[in-house]
Amino acid sequence: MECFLVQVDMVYNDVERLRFLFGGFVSGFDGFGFWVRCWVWFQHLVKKTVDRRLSISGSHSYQLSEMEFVSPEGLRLDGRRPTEMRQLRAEIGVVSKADGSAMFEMGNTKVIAAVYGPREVQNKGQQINNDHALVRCEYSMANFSTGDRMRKPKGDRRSIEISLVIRQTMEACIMTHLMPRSQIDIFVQVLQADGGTRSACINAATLALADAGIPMCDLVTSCSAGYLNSTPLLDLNYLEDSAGGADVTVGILPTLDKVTLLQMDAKLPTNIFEDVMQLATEGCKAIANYIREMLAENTKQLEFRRGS
Amino acid sequence: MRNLQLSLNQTQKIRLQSALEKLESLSSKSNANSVVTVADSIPIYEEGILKGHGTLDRKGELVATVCGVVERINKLIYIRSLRSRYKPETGDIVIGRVIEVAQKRWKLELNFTQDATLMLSSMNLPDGIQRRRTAVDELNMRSIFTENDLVCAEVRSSHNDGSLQLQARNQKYGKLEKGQLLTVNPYLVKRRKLHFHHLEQYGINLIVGCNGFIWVGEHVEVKDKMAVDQTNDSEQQIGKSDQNSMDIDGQDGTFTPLETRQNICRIANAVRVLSALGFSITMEVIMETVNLSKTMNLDIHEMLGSEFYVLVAESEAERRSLTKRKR
Repeated sequence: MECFLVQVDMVYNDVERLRFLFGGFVSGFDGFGFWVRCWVWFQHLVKKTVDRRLSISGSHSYQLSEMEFVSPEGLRLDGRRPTEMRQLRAEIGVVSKADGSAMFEMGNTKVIAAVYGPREVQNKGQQINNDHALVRCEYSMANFSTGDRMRKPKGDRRSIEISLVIRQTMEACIMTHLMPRSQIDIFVQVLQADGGTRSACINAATLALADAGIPMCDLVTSCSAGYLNSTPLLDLNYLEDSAGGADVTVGILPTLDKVTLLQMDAKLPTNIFEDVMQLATEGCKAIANYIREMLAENTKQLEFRRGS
Repeated sequence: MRNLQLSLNQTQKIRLQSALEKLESLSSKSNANSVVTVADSIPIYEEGILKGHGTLDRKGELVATVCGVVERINKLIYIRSLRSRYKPETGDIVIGRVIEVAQKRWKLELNFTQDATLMLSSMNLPDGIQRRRTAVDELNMRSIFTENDLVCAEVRSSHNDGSLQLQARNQKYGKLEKGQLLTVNPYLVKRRKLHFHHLEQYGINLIVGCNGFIWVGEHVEVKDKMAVDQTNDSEQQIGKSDQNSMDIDGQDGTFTPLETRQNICRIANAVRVLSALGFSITMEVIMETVNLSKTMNLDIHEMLGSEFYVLVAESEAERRSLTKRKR
């Protein structure tokens, strides 16, 4: 009702403008000039309506930065506690033709990884060092992975950057000197994206590499953490990720306690950053435990099925 | 766990589960403790150990670098990894696919980290004469093996840089024709005295390559032409070789009878089922699976149905418990 009143009120205030518009009409239809005046008036109308609406809603204006990501009860948007991770699920051996493959889920984020190799180097020009294996990685997102269908699933700047990040992270743990004159290809594809795809990809790639029997000095695991509503949050989902706060992605070698990946896409004070990073590291260790369990179970299954 | 891509009904699911549980209980208890994953530390019971494949020394602690089973032989500790590419040993019988004909050599793909090389000089010529390979031989290399041919050979040596040399100095090695190639995980194949099998009742040759390539093909008689040639003088030799080429032409004309083809498919399907279930593949187990399918009166295509998978798992559990009792 109020809204209607406002519009009526506004229209009366704009009698002058109406005259301006139709004056032109009366004095003769001059084509272009008429449409220009029409447009000017319309713009004015729109602006006014918006202004009024905002003044009515008053202090309840919708602003992302002030959105509540942690409720007073200490629960996040999806019902988790700030230091709680999403549910993990992994499956080994999902691609039959690959040397090693794995599927990794973190909540609604779902990633599939396939490893081919070590095999003969396909493009000899790419081989820089002859006595180390060449590691290659390709990251892509399925067209159906996000809410609105993607047009070009790979080849954009973001995928190239993530491919590089995954390649460097995995290269740090693969013992490439044991496989001279060969190459290892890692293919990761995001099937469902809900924040933390980078970490999920790295975890899936680790599982796939271990499944392929490629010697590694440690299992790299990765997890993200953020800082919103002055609370450090573990394992951000898409909503929290797009809130504009800091997002720290950490990749560690859990038994060596070494960091192989650290990315942050906002600014944080040092003391807060330390807390956030600590949280992410603990998340990584929890994931490492889960991955270890999966691998041990898988190896055991293979061994007893094979028989002595 | 590696899941089978099968649609099992409830009873089949339970039967498969119980069969697998039986298999798990049958496997030796000591092995269960020696399963390691990447970065697990390996307990050392004695001083002065030798660290083998898949291990890494980290500040005095022995750490695994692959997932597998710890094997201890005297002072040597190594990890037998399960799912990985083929690891060659000298004398292994392997099957490979020719991917390139290069100068004086063929490049073969055999599920190894690199392509293996088979030198022209390290294989017998088709006419069976021992002599120096000439430029003419080199030009005629494609008449022996061309791209995409399947070749059975023996590992001659593997070098430090990972390259692999093959040889085929026997009539039983060479090109494989009229059959099916199956690829399984190399860890399912064990090194045996015998890798060539002639199944007389089916008229089939079965070659279990150490690299996980398994050949099921029509039986061809191996003629040791070299021995024959040595007894004849040179004039007869030419006549002989002409006759041989005639024979080969004749063979190309004839086709494999339907019954043999069916037998090939049946054996191939048995291998497929066994490899999908992850059971180790030997001649005996393959034949047992084939016989099981015959006694059940199953068609060849029915062997890939879920019921047969359950049956094979159950019979495998039965077989292993019997062998265990015998011991």
